[in-house]
Amino acid sequence: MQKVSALSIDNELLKKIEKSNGSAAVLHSYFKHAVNYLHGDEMLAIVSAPIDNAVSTIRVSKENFDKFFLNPSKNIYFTDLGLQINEDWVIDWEETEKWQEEKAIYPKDTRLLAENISLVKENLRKQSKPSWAHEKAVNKNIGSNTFEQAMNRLLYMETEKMFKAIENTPKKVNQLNETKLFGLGKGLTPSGDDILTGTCFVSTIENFPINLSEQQKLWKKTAKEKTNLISATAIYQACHGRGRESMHEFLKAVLFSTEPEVVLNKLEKVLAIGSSSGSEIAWGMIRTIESANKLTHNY
Amino acid sequence: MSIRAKIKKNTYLDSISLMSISTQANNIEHVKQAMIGMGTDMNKEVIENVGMTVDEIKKATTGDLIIVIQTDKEDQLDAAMEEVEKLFIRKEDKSETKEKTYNSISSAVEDVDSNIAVISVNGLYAAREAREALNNDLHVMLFSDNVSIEDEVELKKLAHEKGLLMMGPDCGTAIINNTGLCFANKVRKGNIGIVGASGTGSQELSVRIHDFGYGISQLIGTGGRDLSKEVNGIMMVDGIRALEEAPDTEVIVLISKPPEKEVEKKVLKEVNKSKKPVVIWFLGGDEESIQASKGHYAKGSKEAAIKAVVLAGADEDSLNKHSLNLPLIKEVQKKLKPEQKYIRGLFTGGTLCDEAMLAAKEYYEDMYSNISKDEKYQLEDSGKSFHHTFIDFGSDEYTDGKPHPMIDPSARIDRFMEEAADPKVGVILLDFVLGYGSHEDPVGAMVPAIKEAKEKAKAEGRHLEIIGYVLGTDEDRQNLKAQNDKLDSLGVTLSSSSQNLGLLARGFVNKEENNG
Amino acid sequence: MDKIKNLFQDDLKAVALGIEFIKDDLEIQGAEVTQLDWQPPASGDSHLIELLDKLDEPENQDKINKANEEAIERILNSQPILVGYDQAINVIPGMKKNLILHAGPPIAWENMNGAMRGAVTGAIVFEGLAENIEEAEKVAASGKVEFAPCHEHDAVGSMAGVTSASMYVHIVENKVYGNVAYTNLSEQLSKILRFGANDQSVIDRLNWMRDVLGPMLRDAMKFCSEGIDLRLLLSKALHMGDEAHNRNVAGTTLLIQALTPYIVQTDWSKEDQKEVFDFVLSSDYFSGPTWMALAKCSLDAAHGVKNSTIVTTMCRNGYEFGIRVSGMSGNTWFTGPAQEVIGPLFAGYKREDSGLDIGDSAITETFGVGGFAMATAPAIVPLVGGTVADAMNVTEEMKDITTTKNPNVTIPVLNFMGIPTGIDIRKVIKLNKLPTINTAIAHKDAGIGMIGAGITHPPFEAFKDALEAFAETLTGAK
Repeated sequence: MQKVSALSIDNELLKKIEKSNGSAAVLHSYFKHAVNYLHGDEMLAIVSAPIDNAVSTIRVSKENFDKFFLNPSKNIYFTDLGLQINEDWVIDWEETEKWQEEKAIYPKDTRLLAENISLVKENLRKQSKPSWAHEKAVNKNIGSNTFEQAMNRLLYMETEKMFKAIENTPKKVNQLNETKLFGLGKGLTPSGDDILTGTCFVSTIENFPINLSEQQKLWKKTAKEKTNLISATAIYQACHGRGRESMHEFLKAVLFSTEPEVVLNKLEKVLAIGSSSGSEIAWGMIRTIESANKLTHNY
Repeated sequence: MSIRAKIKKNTYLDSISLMSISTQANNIEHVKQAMIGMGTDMNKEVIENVGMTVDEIKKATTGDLIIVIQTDKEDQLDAAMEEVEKLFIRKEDKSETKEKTYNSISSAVEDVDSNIAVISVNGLYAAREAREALNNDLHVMLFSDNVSIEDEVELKKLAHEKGLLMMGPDCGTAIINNTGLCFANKVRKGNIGIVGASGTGSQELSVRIHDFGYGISQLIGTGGRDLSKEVNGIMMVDGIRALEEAPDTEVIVLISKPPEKEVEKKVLKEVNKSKKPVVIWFLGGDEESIQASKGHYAKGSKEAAIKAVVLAGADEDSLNKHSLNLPLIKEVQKKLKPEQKYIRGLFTGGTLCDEAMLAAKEYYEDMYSNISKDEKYQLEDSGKSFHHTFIDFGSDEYTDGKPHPMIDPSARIDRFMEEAADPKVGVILLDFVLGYGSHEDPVGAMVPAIKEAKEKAKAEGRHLEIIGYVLGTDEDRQNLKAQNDKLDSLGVTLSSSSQNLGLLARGFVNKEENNG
Repeated sequence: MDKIKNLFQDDLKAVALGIEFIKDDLEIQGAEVTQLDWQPPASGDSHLIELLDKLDEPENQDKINKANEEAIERILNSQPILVGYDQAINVIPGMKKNLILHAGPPIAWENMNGAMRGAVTGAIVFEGLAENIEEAEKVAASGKVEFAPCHEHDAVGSMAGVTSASMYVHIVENKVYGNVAYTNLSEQLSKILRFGANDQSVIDRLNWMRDVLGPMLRDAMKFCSEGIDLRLLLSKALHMGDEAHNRNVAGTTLLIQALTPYIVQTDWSKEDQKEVFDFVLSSDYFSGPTWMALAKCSLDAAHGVKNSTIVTTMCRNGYEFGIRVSGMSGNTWFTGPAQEVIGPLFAGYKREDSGLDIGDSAITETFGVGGFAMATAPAIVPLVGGTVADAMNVTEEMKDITTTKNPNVTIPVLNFMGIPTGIDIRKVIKLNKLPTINTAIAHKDAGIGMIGAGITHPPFEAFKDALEAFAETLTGAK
């Protein structure tokens, strides 16, 4: 039996694991840098060192999983020793850093916001992988074929529709039951889902001027039907204000940082998520903050 | 227009692979367009909206992967879909093949043709690995230290019996067939062979020879204890014999600290037998006995290099010997205050430290060092300097679990700041070793400290003389010129060789002109 | 000096172990480098390293290597021939009416797990030593029946390995060294005695095996004067994708093909014969015990070679895992706790249901098949878990802890490499790499049977104790 030390572990997950001693989780999917397991209805992820902390995630000290349980066992077990994988590996977290999410609070003083929002938007425009929901997509028929063009147009229109609805009735958003963003787009987590993740994540912070809670209640229920489990899990967690470390950091930077380099640096980290997912999440986040700022500043 | 779809049940590929497969699929011959994505309702709807839907697609669920392709003609579909499928297979194949790894020397040599083992594991385990290597007929470079002398003797005897090289333990430098092992500089291939019981000494020699336009055939390291009574020079003697037989070696150079008398006799006997000229640089060694053996005596490293290249065919008069800059010495002497009379040498290379100290010792009695052989001149407290002090930061008392100072400069930086603040200090010597194994920018690591120290001294109204010596060539990845330029721009005096370093230092703090 | 001369004229081809940058710098210069995945020997246990060093001293190493050569030669040269079948009481040395043989190292009744107890009590009822299971339990605890390991009676037994006086056994004779090995017949289905099942259906089947199957095979083999060369069959079976522990589909076909001409010559009725053929057809495992007897027969020939560090037995009783080493002759056991078997379970079972590793079948791995020959049996992967690449790797890795490759039994996909043979306790300890065993998973309770299959390893302690005892015998070092 060989031990692999976890680098860090989500503290909430740890509490759950400790309660589940003796039970098993079932393999859901695996990638070069991440392996997902289903524990009951919940998904937990084991990720390699370069990946950032996130909800229900254990980071282990491996550069990637090419050699380390590339072909993971169907089941993993929570034992006294730790998380047992295959017959000969145990991930233990005795000396591991416990990662605790620190949630941001919407600032009373929003003078900084406008500047940071335009900084981020401008930067997202320049990305080699721009958010497909961005206006550029619809204006220039972006996409290598008619399918992609159609999809990008739809993404743009649905995104804008969502924000219009949000800005119309900010205190009680509930007219988005039929949004077509769920499961829309390319990638493992379709682009529309990523935008929703960004939006939901931001809207749950304390003092946020927009109230999406009623809408989210429904979304949480329907996400699993409308998109795949990996995506749905991310949206579900975002509705509870939970996300990846890079998302928390980026949010805080946009809300409070006076230094453009810091904001852009944190943005980079979000952009590193997935292939284009990062830019969609960032787009969802920044557009939501923008909508909020329009309310507080009324311009 | 012909369309075909395929559903891969419960297939999750990471986004990056998915994107790349999608892009490649769109580039396949005859494919008008291809769509690869998760089987969500929305994706299905878009596919339908652009008229690409077929019945199968309806069956896809959110965890499935949908592939849809469109071609001009019906008969192109089969081939195109096959190509798309291949994109997935290749990925799977790649993930299945694991590179074969080996746990032991024996299992590795069974599969892989090998001729040398380079061992740098913890000294506790190093000897048994070396033995295993020798028993598998591999030559050995044993970088690890903390190997017992009994083990060393046994390993070297075994290697000798088998006709193998046993370089080390504690052998930091070798160049075999123009390939540097562990700490070594990138030097020209040539006709001079070196057998060295000293790592930095060997590096210095190879670099000086390169500087004079000549090159190295082989550099055989022996480990620092080879010429002790117990080991009895087994590797050095075998090294001389090996170079004697090597056709591309015309001159042999030996480097060591002074050996035990009996061992020296044994080595010199071998030198006497040699048909090739042998230059001998035994730091502080005895000239007479060496001359008697037909060996060519060298007092310092540069001298050894000059003798070697001349014996190898160089015209001595045309060599740029970088003789001492005497006017500079006078100039610096004037800048230093009377109380600034001490030299502090902070070294990463043991032999560089030794050589500079030997030179200075010819002028001054009160030379203290952590590597002094004379107990009287041992530093009492390795953390504090006393009179003239020379420190080898590569010694155990400074490394103690930390990497060698050639890799991790932090210990020396701290000490440097202390010395620089001492008003009695006139000159600080710093060496910087380039080449394989060393820090990627040794001078750069020191730059902020040097700047700060110089400024502080200036504010206090004294001149702080720093002499830097960079051991390396322009072909080393850190680049000799770039490193020297950095020092020069900070007002650090540059020494052109290890030998000159000591000579400059002793001159700078010398107040009695006639001795200059 | 020639070797140095060769080095100077050749390209530098290095094996590197330790600091990574040394390898990187060598590669930058264009040298070929193989960086070892190196770990301290014996995981850095200084006492074990000291012992290994002691054993590596030239004079000791000489002795051991010579002895190992002899032990290996005996394994490779053995010719196990299936010469017949008979009742245990008639052939197994020391067999008696109230003796129950079991798998693994010696074990007392109170330590036996559910499966083993079920099998023992079933056998007591089958032998008429008790009326029913409850009574059998009392008999078992009373000391009226004796227990002994199969291994101590020239026999091996699959899973619980329970073998009693009137059961029929294979007789496998070593044509070269003369020793004989025995093992009982496969019961085929999963609700069987060797998994601890003992209800009436199990006893009925045992009765049929005693009254029809066993005698028929005995009679058949009387027509086969030469006997059946098992090594030849095994070698064919491996070429057909069996690893001869958990996958026996080819081997069973080959064995029944060899037996059939003789079965049909017996006086047994067509109906009885059909019943026997149906029985063989009902499970691929029919030949499983046969290969165990082959392995036992070859390894026993190599047991007791003075100074040899080759493992001649690996077996488990569901409580402990035991090994024997050639140089420690007789019944010198080294044991450690039986381990869990990890692998896919049949639908409806959970991991908590599994019993610990049990059975003498690890004799196949000791010989070099089973887990050691996984590379030749990619079809087994779905059964024991992992991937085809994993299966290939296991065989490659077992080379590291064995002494040679058996040229008589080869693996086509690895360029007809011989199976890794001759586990050396020194290598196991040094590399801290344990043998890989493919095996079935029995339910922890009596009477349920097989619930899955998977992979397991022996406990390190058994090898550690063996090395310590061996070193003490050889050198007096403790």
